[in-house]
Amino acid sequence: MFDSYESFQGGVFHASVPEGRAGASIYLTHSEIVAKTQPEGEQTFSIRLSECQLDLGGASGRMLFCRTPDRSLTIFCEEKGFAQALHQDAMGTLSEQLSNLCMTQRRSENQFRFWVMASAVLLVVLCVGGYYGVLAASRAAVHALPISVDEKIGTIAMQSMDLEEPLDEEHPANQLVAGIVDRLKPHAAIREMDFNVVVVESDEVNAFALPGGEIVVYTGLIEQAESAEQIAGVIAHEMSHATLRHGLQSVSQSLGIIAAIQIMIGDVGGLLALGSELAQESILTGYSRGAETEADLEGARMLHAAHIDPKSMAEFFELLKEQQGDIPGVIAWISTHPQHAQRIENIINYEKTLPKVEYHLLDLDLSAAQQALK
Amino acid sequence: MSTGLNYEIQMRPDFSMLKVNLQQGEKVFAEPSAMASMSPSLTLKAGMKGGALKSLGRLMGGESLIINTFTAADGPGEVVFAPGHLGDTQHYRLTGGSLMLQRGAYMANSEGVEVTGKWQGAKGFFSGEGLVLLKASGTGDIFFNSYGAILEIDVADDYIVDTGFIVAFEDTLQYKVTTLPGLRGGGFKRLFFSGEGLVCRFSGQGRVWVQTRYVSPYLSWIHQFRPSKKK
Repeated sequence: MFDSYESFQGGVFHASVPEGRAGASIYLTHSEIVAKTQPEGEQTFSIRLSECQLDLGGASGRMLFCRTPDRSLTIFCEEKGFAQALHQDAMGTLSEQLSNLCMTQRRSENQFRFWVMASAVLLVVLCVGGYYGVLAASRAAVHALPISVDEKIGTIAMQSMDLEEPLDEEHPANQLVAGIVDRLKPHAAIREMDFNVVVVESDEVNAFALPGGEIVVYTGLIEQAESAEQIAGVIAHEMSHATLRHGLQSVSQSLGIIAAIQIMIGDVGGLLALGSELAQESILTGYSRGAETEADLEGARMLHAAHIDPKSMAEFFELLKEQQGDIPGVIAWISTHPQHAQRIENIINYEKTLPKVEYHLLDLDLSAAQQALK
Repeated sequence: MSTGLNYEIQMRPDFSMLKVNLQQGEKVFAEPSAMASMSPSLTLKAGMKGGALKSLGRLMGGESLIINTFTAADGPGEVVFAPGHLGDTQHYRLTGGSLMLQRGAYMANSEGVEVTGKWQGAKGFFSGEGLVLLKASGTGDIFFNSYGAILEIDVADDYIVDTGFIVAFEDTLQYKVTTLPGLRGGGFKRLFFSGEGLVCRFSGQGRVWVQTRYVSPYLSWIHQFRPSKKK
């Protein structure tokens, strides 16, 4: 008999149904809300619209309850179109109640949205703060460690790197680099660090420092340099990485962040393995931009203290910039040392702030070393 | 539509078992490893029911991705299910509405019932009982289990249950996670020293099933008797 009306899925509460509650199909006539219990339609209940009391609730917060004034019968429905249909069919009799409910629901939804937003913001702040906190803490921790730790890591890394054809110690190129290191060594930030230089035969224009003071220079760098001071500039920069302990810092930062993640999400063995691999790679593939800038300035300070013009370091960057297209090997050093136009400017500006001293040219024979390499 | 499964819950309440008698062709669905014994006329099929998303919902609700289907393919037979831990088993007949279940409370259901996870957001987070509740809806039978015996409570207006004791509740009940009324305004001191944590405040009309024991206080009670490892 109600087939012509739109039907909704819902239920009824009434003392006469088993267990007090039953599922029902709900129909809206123009004067009544009718519920037929399922599945066989055994019982039919109805509430007159004019005396219906509405309420919102349920686990979802969106269930509409329609009650008789004595609350003996309740018809409820969660379907989306039900409130809309009720609004239309009731011809205004329930409009006031419906709009009131609508308003309370909207208010609670807005409140909910506010809390979600606030929690999201808090979470972001905690994550970002935690990240920088870990970085700062690991930086401080590194400086508390003895240098022997750097040396051990450096030695292990050196052994695992399998360098091809290191030059003989008597070779003029090796003599040249050793001479530069001897000149810079007294001005290093960590006096007790023992610098050790290896010159490796390779066309790549490259040089790098390992923790603890192992410095590797490729012959390509010596061949392309225009003066011994330029080589001194690169070596001062690499020595600074060692004295500023950037290698250990990047390891401890990676480990620190992994440890923090572990504390948050529990013990994850795979993550640790991945992390130690990442840390190893970070030593070998280069330092962060901040670390590079730090090494530039510390290198410039060392050069200045050794009475070598820090502008030679900038000159070498300039040279690399110009030759970048011509020599394929140059790309190696550039790729780990980005944005050198900015760095040249930084070095020159920094040099201006240092007290005026007289710069001396190095008493070392670059052309002899270059001749010997040919 | 069937008139429901022919079932019997035995050995109540502490070591309950659910026995379902299936007629030829009838099916029952249950969580993996719940089957204790069965007639040889039944066949078992395992699979993700209701698609990947619904299965994922169940996974978040502390259940398995897989649901086992027992079909009385070769004639009528019976199957007996046992919950993983000691405690009671409860039957509920769904008639188009839904039933919200606590994490891991699901045990078995008949045809016509769908079980999935329902994201609870902040409510779930603060209750400490998991972000996702299970939601069973449709028309048919659902069986769930508790730790300890089960108390059925008819809520007429407002009622408070400690979050750890909730097993299931009807969808007609609205719930809010809150502190106990007396503790509010008393500051954190009272909240921590009273030993009462967060509670669930139900409002509206419907039924709540409460278990007579809560696992984590039991575990901390038992913990003091464990031999400690010497270093």
